[in-house]
Amino acid sequence: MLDRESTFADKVIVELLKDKFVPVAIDQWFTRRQEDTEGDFWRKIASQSPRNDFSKTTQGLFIVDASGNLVAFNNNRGPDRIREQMLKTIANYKHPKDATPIVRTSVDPKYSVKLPADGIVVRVAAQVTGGYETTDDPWRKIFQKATSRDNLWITKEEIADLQTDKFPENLAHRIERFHLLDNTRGEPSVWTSAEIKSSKWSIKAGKITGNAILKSTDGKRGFEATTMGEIAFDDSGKVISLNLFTQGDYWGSGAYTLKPPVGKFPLAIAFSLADGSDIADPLAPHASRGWLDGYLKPKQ
Amino acid sequence: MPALMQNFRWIVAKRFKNSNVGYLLAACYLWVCVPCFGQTDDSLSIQEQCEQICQDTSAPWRSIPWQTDLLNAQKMAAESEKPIFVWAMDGHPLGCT
Repeated sequence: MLDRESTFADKVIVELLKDKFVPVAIDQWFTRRQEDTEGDFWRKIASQSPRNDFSKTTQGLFIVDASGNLVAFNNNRGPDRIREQMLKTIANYKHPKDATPIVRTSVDPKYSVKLPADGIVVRVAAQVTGGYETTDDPWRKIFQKATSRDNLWITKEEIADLQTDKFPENLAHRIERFHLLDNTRGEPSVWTSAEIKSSKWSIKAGKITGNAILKSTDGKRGFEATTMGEIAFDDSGKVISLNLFTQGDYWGSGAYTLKPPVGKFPLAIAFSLADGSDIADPLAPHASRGWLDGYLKPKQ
Repeated sequence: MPALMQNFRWIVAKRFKNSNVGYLLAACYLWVCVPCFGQTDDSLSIQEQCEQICQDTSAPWRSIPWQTDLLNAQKMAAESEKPIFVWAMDGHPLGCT
């Protein structure tokens, strides 16, 4: 998020990435674990950087040649250093003559998560809408006004249930555990089943209502959430529109979402049917990492 | 506007808890603010409320032709003779958070 608002808001960097580089964005949590061709290539790259312990994060900004030889690495906030590294790379770049496309000979199924057939993708965006302290810190301001993004996957069986005015338990549980979250300041901690203190969802003639209370065991993190929504189908049963709007009082933070507003604060979450036009529409839900069944069937 | 309203509610709740001033301010707030803000909220459809909470689609990072597969990027780099720029994060940089 900080990178999106700082490094990748820099005009020079954006133009360089468009014209002079092949830009690629990855969730290295997957890639460093993948026992396949792509994972091998990533480990080759990361092993040349300070991020060479694959039991830990390998996150950062990397410039490599087409053979995977590291040219530059950066994990600092702000655009200055990476802009300089990029300009220097372009000035001195020598394309490796022996570089050929790597043939993908294996795909690790554990980390190759695919949307179930005839399922739908729903964009999920969250925003803290009040409660923050006033600040002059530009980095803190970025967090305070941030809107998060994730995807919710809904299966064809669940779509069929919704058409017959039945709100599927697994869908309710999935929304609650993995999407009723404050993920605006970083990677969120999902809720456990035991942390769902109350849950009531219903659908009638396309109108959806949901009420959920989520609370951590120690009571330090929680969300009292109310959801209103609408879903519409065409004659063939295809979902043609879906909007859910959740709001309520949230409190506390996860390990990587520190410094929330003090006490209870308002959190709003929007769920909207994806049409495939957004760059993030094809991405797997964050909570499905390495455990798609657990994501799709959290109730079982 | 709803965000402004909620901010006000939170500030009052925090600043004046356990104080009669808090009740007085809350009453003023209800009398002055709720009718107009309430109408605004009610007038928004669920779709419009959702559209208020979304990422800025004109943000510069969205104009970059990001690949999401490292081997596809390597193939493009081998063919175009360009270097590869990898943005590697915990959680997908284009999605999560």
